[in-house]
Parts: sequence; structure tokens; C-alpha cells
Amino acid sequence: MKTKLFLLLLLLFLTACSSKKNNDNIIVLSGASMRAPMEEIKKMYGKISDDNILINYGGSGELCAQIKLSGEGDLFVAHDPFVPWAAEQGLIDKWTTLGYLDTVVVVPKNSNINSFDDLAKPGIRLGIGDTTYSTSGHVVKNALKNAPFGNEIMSNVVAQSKGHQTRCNYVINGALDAGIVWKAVAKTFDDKLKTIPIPKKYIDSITSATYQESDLKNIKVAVGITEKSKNNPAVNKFYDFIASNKNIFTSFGYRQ
Amino acid sequence: MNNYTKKFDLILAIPLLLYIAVIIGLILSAVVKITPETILSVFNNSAIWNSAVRSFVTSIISSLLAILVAVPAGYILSRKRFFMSDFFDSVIDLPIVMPPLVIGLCILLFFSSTDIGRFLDRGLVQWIAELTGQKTNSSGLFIFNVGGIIAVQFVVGCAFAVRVIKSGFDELNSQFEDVAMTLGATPLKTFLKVSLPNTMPAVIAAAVITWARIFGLFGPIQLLCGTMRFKTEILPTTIYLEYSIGNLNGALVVGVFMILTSIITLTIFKKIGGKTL
Repeated sequence: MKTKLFLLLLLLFLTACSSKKNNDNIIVLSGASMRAPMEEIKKMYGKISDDNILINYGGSGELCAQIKLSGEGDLFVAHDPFVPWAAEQGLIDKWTTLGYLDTVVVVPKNSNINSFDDLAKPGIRLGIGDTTYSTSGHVVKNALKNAPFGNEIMSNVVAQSKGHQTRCNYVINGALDAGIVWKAVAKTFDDKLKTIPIPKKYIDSITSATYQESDLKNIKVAVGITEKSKNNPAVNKFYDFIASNKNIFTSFGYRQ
Repeated sequence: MNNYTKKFDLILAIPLLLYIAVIIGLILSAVVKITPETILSVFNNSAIWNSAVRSFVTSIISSLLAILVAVPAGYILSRKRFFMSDFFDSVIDLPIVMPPLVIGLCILLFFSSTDIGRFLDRGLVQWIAELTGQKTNSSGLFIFNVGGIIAVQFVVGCAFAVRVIKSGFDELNSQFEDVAMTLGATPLKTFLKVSLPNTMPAVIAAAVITWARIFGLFGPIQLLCGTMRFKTEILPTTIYLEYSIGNLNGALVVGVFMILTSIITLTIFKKIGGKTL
């Protein structure tokens, strides 16, 4: 009886390990902020192709390190500066822009914060991206340098963190009164949070970001093919499919 | 010893040797990547020292707090039978079996969305400031603050301490205590002069296990306190931050530093604890 059970488990294990050989596996490394549009694209692609799309979400910088270390991954989806940076290092063969990210303030629906300048009120608990380790943190730091109440707002920052979904969750459960996140991420929390735009005039066009000069007014999201998969027809087909469906990104709050 | 059992022992030793090879191999695969330059560049950064000090101070405070709670708790659970004592005993196991991230999430929700939690996190500081007539711009005690690191470490670690100390009291024959009391010692004196000294090895073992468990804890702390340099950064946070910007070598140096300090601390405690560990 025990042997039979063991054999059954072994069989289960082996079936779980072996993937269907007739279809291609396409591994996509995607920044976590791009989850909503990428899931939509994956669903659409599933209707026209049998290829298995496996998407690994993570911080854009971590994924960059992962490509470098493991040499795995077929496509890389990330915001500035990571795709061009990866291309510079020879990790990415070609890439194309899918849309641009704007930053917004998110507050609970019933909040009395109604404008960007309201963030300067004393006692507000504000969360922003890490000003050293994240792109959105750079944008915010830059905007606060130019905003009239920048110093007051900066002194209300109680948390610098990575991950935009996490920051939205902090606002929802009350750990923060307001958070600054990508507009595209805020859109997925539409039912619980209201958004306040950050005046564009506060954001400089060019300033230094994590790895290189970036245009902070136009943070782009791009998809790139890794060096190892540049000649793989299945990967190229999916790459073209993403590139020709930029409207999906637009519908999730990315600017074209 | 005859040849027959020797062969048998050798066969039994194979899994042990394999596992030891795995452990040492894993540590070596990190160590060989490290160059003297990366070590220098990592330790020239004041953020690392800041995070190392915060790691040690918080984990030691949390371990001491855990022991303070676990000694009386372990004694009561071991010696007394009372209403719902079995239920209490099972509740103590919850932090051990609960996924650490779930614990972190519960602590975050407690401090952010319950009235009593919000008071402890933010109201308390304001209240004390108003009482003493001072102004404060404190952002609170726990969420995104060092207090949160200690809170998480305490909740996770204390369960281990209670378990170990309770089994220490379980092994001590209660007749010693009975004899002390028939000789006229008060319950307090009996506890301090008989029960506690005889369970000291278990208390030290509990301190070591608790510290080892919480020193490397990261997930729930990241959830509650974030990953802020010079504010809530502990050594696992440093590893995470360095890795997140692709600085693998920096992350490895800090990792090996954590392994070494853990080994040294455990060795010192084992010397203090004698054969009991």
C-alpha cells in the first residue's frame, strides 16, 4: 500500500515537472507596476496562441539583476531607466516604448486632501517611493524641490518604500493618509482611492535617476527582447503582439 | 565494535555528510564571489554600520523582552492546570506555525486600523507631549518606525521562548519545590532559589533560539516598517536593498557578515549554556 502511494506521488511529481513539449514557454520578467495591463495582454494572447506565457513580477531593478545573473527570461518589461540600461549592458537586444507613466497622489475616498498643496498640512502621513532606490522616488524628490510648499510636504513623509501596490494598500488600511504612486497603479485601486494629479510644471525634464540621465517628465515603460532570445520566433511573435497593443496600456492609465 | 555495526554506522552517516556538504557548499558559493574591494566598499558605507547596530540592538531587546514574558508564562503553563490552560497552551503555538508574513500583516492592521492600535502607534506620543507641554512631529512608534521592528520580533520570537522554557520546567521534578516549601520557603523564594536556577540552561537555550529566529527575520518587518535607510533598515533590509538595485556583491558581503556574526554569537552562548545546548 505504501509503495503504491509512493509511486503515485512520484508519478504526480513527474507530471508536474514535465511541461507540454509541443508548446513554447515564453518567460516574461515584468515590473510589478505593469501587472494589470500585462495580465490583460496575456489573456488576449491566449486566445490566438497556444504558447505558455509565464510572467514573473518583481521590482524592475531586481529583475535586471536576475537577467544578468541567471541569463534566463525572454522578454523584459520595465519602466525607466531599466530597459535602456539593460540594453546598454548588452542584456537586451531591441526594445520599444509601450507608454509613459505619470505620478499621482492617492488618498482615501473620504479624505479632506483635495490638492497637491494640501499635502503640506501639518500632521499628514505621506508615503513616497524610496528617493535613492526607486524611479518614482526620484520624480517626487524633484517635484518637491520645485513645489512652493516642497519642504513642508517633505517633512510630512513618514515612509519611503518600494512597490506602488504596497503603498496603495498602506493608504487603504490607514497606515498612511496619502501616497504618491504611478497613475497606472492608482487606476487599479479606483474603487477604494481617489487620485490627485501632481502639477506637471513642478517636474523637471531631465535629471539624474537611478542609473543614468532620465526624462522625469516622461518616464517610459518599455518591452525588450533579451539577447539570448532575439532569434526565437515564438518570442518575437509575442513581442510584436505586445508592441501592437499599446492601447491596452493606454486603457490602464499610461500616457502615449 | 565489530565490522558489522561499523558498516551500518557508515551507511547512516551518509545523509549527515550529504547535508553538511550542502550547507557548506551553499555558504562557499556566496563566499567565493566576494572580493576584498567589495568588502571595503560595503563597510566604508555608514549605512551598513547603522543597520548592523539597529539589527543587534532590536534583536537583543526583543529577545530580553521575550525571556521576561516567557519565564513566568512557561512556569504557569508547566506547573498549573486551570480553566482553558490547554487552550492557552495551543495559542502559544500559533506564532510558531503562522506564516511570518501573516503575522506582519496582522500587526500592521492592528496598528493602522484599530482604535487601540492607532492610539499606541500615534496617540500615545501626542498625549505624552501634550501632558509635558512639548510639541512633537513624531510619526508614531510602530508603523514605519523602530518600535515596529521590536514588536514583530517579539511576537514571533516569544512563542519559541515560552516553548523551550516550559519544557525546562516540565523536566524539573516538582518535588524539589514541594520540599523547599515544606521547609518554610515562600512561593517567591522557592521560585527564585529552586525553580529558576535549575531551569537556567533552558532559559539560556530559549534566549539563543529566540535570538537566532528573529535576527534574520525580514518579511513581516518589511511589511510593517518599510525599508528606509538610517531609519528602519536592519541587516536583512540592507541585503534586500542592495540586491534590488542589482548590487549582488554588496548583498553577499552583508549576507556572509550575518552568517559569521550568528556563528560567533551562538558559539559564545553555547559556552555559557554548557552541555545543555
